[in-house]
Amino acid sequence: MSQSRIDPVADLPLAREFMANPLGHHSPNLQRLMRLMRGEPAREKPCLLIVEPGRKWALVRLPGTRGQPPVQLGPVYTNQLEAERDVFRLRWKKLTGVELVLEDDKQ
Amino acid sequence: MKLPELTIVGYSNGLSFAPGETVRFMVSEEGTRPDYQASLLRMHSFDDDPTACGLIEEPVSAAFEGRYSARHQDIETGSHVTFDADHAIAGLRAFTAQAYIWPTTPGRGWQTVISCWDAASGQGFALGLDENGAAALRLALPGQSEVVISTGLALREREWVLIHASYDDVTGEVVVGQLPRLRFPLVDTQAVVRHLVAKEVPAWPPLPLAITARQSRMQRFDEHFNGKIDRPRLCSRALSHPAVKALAGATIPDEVAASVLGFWDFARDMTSVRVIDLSPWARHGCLVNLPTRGMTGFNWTGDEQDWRRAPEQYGAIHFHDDDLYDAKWEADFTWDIPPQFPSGCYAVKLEDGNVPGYIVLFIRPPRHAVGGNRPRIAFLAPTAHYLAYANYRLADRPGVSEAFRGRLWQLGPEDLLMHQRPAFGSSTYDMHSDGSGVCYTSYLRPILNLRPNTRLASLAGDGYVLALLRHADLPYDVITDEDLHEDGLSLLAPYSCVITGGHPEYWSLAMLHGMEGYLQRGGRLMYLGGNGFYWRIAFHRELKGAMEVRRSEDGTRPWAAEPGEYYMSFTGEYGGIWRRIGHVPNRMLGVGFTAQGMDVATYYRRQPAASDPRAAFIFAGVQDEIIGDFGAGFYGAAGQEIDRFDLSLGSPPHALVLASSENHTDNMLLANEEFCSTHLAVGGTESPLVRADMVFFETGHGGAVFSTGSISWVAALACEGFDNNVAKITINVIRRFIDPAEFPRIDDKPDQH
Repeated sequence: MSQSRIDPVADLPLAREFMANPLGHHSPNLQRLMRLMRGEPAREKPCLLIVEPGRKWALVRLPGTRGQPPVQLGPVYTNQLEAERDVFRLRWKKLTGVELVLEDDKQ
Repeated sequence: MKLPELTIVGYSNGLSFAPGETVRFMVSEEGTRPDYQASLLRMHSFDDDPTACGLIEEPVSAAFEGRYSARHQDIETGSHVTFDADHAIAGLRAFTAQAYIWPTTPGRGWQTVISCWDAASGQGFALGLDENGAAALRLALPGQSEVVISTGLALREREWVLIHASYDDVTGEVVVGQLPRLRFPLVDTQAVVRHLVAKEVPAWPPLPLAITARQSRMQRFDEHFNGKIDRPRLCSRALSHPAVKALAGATIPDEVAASVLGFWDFARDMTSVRVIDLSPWARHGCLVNLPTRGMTGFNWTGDEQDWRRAPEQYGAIHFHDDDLYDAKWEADFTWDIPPQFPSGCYAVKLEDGNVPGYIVLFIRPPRHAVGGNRPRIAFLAPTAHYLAYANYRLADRPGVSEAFRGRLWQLGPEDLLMHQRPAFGSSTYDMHSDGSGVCYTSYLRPILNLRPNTRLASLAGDGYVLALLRHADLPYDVITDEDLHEDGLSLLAPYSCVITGGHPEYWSLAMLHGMEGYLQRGGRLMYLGGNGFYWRIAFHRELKGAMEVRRSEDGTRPWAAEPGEYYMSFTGEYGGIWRRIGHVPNRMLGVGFTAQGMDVATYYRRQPAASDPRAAFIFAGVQDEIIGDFGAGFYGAAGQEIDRFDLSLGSPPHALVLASSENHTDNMLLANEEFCSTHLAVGGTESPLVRADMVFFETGHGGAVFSTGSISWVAALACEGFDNNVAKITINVIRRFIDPAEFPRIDDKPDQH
């Protein structure tokens, strides 16, 4: 049985680590957290739809069954890393029940 | 915001064509646009990433260019056996139908196993599974309304069972039964039901025969069965229980011989699309939409793994309701390729006002006329790779894929269209609708992901090689995997240098032999990729454009072949990764697959061997210690899938390891064929085997091999206007490889690495 879970207080440093560098080298604990977040069921999984190749992406959610259209979740991004950060925030709230609030957000 | 939509798609009657040949183009409008514009483009790149050279499309005049009325064309998926009309069964009054089946989706609607059904009059019978997954008979006697008689007991998924049904016209008794091969206490699925219906009715009109489907009034086949079928039988009288068992034997029993109407042995003619009837009627059938052959039968013991050695245990065919070989669309227009038309990558662009559709074509040099005044360079377009990935259903599998990729999935409008329209068929990376792996693929259907701006591990990355050749003003021909398979060495012989794309992953034995022969005769090979020469494939001998892969035994793979099903049905060859079949890529390329990771790429660091005088031409004008710390898509030249030099795997000991990648993340994971037991030290920060090695060696026959060992290499070529060390190294190697001066023989000396 998986024992992974996210602690909304103790794991805040991991959230900071991700926000600073969404892609690239991650600490072992952030890797564990990301596996938990990315392992959510396919039915709920967001992904990026290419609006303009290499330039613009829309965040969409695909239905789990074939034949259904996607649902647009948010704005059109011009930077993929911003989409990664927004999805992280969505998943943080879903898995911990609380909004992710970091120091930068309070300023 | 309106999301981008792809609504116009098409395909041609091949991927590779020679000048003078005629191409047919089949097009379908998937939206509501009334017309579309068709035009021909020469493609000099296939990717629009802003960090590289952009999408370079050169309009080319062609007679077909113009505006066409758009129409929707349907695709009929699902495999079955059809029979000629003269095999319709006439004068039938009573019957027994039976087969061993291994159902994979019992309970998913009515599924037909054997049908004798006259759609026009709605008369006949069909043996199959009812909506609840129980063996059942649909029966419409002459002058009677249709009845369904079911055992009422659902079959178990993936368990062999003999199902049977009979009608006795004298007594009016219908018997429907199911006899599982294995029986379990408490959950026994054996059942027989008897039912009285009308008797002494007139004979049926001639009944068209079909296996695993029922012909509808629209002349379409529906109610497809998912699963394996073995030993289907048909008889013109109601048989007793012992006679049903006898009829399920390998030979026609004497006591029923006079009444047998069909006695099929699916193990015969395995490599063809024919199914053979051993009865005197010779009701041979034809497989439609390529169901999977070479499958273990109900009687497979496990003693033999090769269907050629024990064909009697491989009498099963696995049918799927989403099998597709040929979409069979009508052509919208054709094109007679002019006799002197230049070789290259081309595309027909279809513009209906939404996202444009593309039909990609590779124009090769003239057939049987290669030699003479050809360019010195051939780009080997990896069409086998494009076929293996044709209609890769990324959107159907984000479940595990994001964790695998280590970043959000990116989908294009083609992925959404595939997700919304399952009928385009799947790639060999997908599962059928019943969860079994897809072994076969073909190009006689729209390949939605063979277009610009798709994955950099495919056409989008390969296009950067074309862009580099154009930028450096280096003339080239385009040849394809399929051409190499068919023409062998004679295709390669005219060229001084053959260049691959970023991911030449799929190779038939004939392709390997052609390349080996080329290198033995002074040929020079530039392998600009990763995970190359990896999977064994087979092409069908009768069906153009059909290709097979078995995900056997080991290797990094999207699904695993079932036990006993490692041998390819198209040829009887043992399938799987070449590393395990005696053609390890390290031997020919110097490197072989070692790791994959899709989050970010990294760079190479120059190694001491780069200073060897033998490598001086490679690094002319390149002093950098770090190579390729940039690239389209993944930010580096070493990434996605990478290969390493390894003497223990057969890498030539005299090869120079010029540079090696470093700083991979833990998402770059060691390939699973590299370890026997799982452990945690498989990521890029821990495993010393996770690296891409750039290798050069002379073949000893005047030729040489240069390998980069990374899919991401090609996506770095066009950065900074091609003014970068990846492009410089690549051009240096090309220029030396097209120089006729032979590479000197290397004296034997100790390995320097």
